[in-house]
Amino acid sequence: MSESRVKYLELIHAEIDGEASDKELAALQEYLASDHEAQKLRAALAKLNNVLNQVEEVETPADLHTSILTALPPRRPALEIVAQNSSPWRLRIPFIRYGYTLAAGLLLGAVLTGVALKNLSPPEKSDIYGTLAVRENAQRYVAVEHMNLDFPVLRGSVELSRSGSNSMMVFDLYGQQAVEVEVGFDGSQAGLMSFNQQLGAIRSFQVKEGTISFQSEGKQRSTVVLASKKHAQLLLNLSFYVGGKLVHQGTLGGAARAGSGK
Amino acid sequence: MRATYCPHQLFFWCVVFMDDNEDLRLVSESRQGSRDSFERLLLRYEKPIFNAAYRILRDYEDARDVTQNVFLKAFQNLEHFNAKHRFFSWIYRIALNESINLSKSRRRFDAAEDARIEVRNTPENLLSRKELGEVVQAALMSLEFEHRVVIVLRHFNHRSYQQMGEILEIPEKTVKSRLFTARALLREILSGKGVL
Repeated sequence: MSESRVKYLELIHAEIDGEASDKELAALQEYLASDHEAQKLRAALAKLNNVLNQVEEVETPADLHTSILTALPPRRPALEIVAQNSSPWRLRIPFIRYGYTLAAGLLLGAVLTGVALKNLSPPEKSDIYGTLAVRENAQRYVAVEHMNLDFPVLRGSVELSRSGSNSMMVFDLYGQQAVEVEVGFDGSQAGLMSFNQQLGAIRSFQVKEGTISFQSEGKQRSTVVLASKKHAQLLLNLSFYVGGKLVHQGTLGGAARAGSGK
Repeated sequence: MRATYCPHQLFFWCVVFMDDNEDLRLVSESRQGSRDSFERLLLRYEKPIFNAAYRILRDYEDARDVTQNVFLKAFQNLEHFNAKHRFFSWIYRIALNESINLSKSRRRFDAAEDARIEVRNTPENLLSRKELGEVVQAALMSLEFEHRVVIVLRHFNHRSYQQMGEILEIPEKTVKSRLFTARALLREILSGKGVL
């Protein structure tokens, strides 16, 4: 089969499927005028298309919609689920979760006691976070940049830490009024991995490609973790609003990009 | 320099991207616990998903099971949906996987059943729409899964080449090639039955 014939066969299918441009349709008409076989094929495909179009849509079972809705399990807001959904059985069987914690605590206590007896100097704080079972595989976040906020309506700090391609921002904010925080970043390079907020329910949290915004009230710690593409070093644009007015705008990640690592 | 340790890091994996697309908005609201938003997604997709499953499996009850499983799985895995992709391609892909799994566990379409709906070489314009539907369905079941799927997506779900490529995770060129082959095979089968 010649190359031009293959091309026109493709165009015949595209015409049937409504995917051919006007220019392609014109070219096809010209080709069909001189190729009887192509005309026959086009007619056959059109007939097949007609037959398939005549096949009626199947009605869905009358109770399908209701039975699906009824079968859906209860759902808690996503952020809570993210926090608990990492291990389904942790979520569903609390006593296993507590048992696991107890076992980890006992193991940790036993090991620390052994270490203390062997060497009276206490371990560094970072060594006793988490359980020993998972410590080896855990990623360590290294603080790379710090931003101080000292304004009449907003005080606190933001610390940027990195671990591999993950960036963690810890917002320790204090304000008399609620503070709106907006984090802008290159959405093609990174996405939200987790959001966590201490003290009270999350009042407001939104995520769009390249923007995360949340509200902080009183004295509150909020943690945002972003996952970025391998080796991408994110530049983060932070904006803080109080009462709808911009209080401060700043950038984090610039020092890390420049390679200072401090 | 201070080293800190984030225990959450061990458990969280939920990359979320959003855009203004209506589906994504509904997904987002569903993630926040809105059953109404999920119901709107259900209203939008239950019929096409059921029809696709029915055309692929040719069994009303199986199609019902597939549709129910698809939406249950989607609901339970909304956190894993990557909003960089389109919701419809994600949910169709779940439907195709469910259909494949179910068809593997069911007996294959056999010749005896095909014979039962033989149409006595009747031209398509003399067949009732119901009969025509049965003949076409039988012909579809004679096709390999990959060919059947492209016919279903194109002719019964009205998906474009690009959308089919997204659903099947194959290049558009491969979609076209499969569709052309599938049509040639279907034409041959239906011509053999005197329908074309």
